[in-house]
Amino acid sequence: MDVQLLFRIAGVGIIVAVMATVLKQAGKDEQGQMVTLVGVLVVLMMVVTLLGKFFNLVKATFGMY
Amino acid sequence: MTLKLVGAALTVLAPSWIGFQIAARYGRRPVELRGFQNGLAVLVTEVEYGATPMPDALRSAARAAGPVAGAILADAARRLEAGGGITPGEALSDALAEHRGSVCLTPADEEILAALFPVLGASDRHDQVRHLRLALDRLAAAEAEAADERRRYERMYRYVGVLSGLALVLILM
Repeated sequence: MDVQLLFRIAGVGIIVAVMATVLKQAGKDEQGQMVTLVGVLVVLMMVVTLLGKFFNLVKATFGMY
Repeated sequence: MTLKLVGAALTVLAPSWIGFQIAARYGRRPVELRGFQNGLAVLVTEVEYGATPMPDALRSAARAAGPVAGAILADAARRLEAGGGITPGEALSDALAEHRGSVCLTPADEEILAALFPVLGASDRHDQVRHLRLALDRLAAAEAEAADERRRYERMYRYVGVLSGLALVLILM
């Protein structure tokens, strides 16, 4: 499950990078930046759930309720 | 599992198709502008040396203008022959308006044609030829611009379509 998520994040990164390059080459720099920003946000959403789990784990481990 | 694969394939295909469709519009615009130029060039000869009646002139222009522009010119010729007391300019404008859905011209391109149409068949030979030549020059400039845009954007829209499909699959997976 975790490895799959890692691969998914890597895939989104690669696709967003290629898309930004293509857009930049066509002279649409702003759209390229927009795509990069959206990619960052999407990946952040994925990571946030993981971070939440991590903090819960830390709380549970040290009994901080 | 199979269902998931089919769904993923459809999710890739749909944005790719949209991208290819937009790219095709960029490919068709220079061709259509070139078609209008060929048609108007024939029209110049018909007006300048032939003094042909407008429906016949439009018909021979339509034969030279290729499929899309030719359809509009032929439609205008039909409208003129149907009578009803419309001027050639009105016939051409109506024909252009009716075919607007199937034509890939920008409003600026249509503006060039709209500036030309009212003059056709409505003033003396020299004035018509002058306006036709002016429209030809402007269409040539528009075609050069369209070719430049095609070179820049045709491939980009294809890539972006396919890639956004792939990204969508990855995000939804």
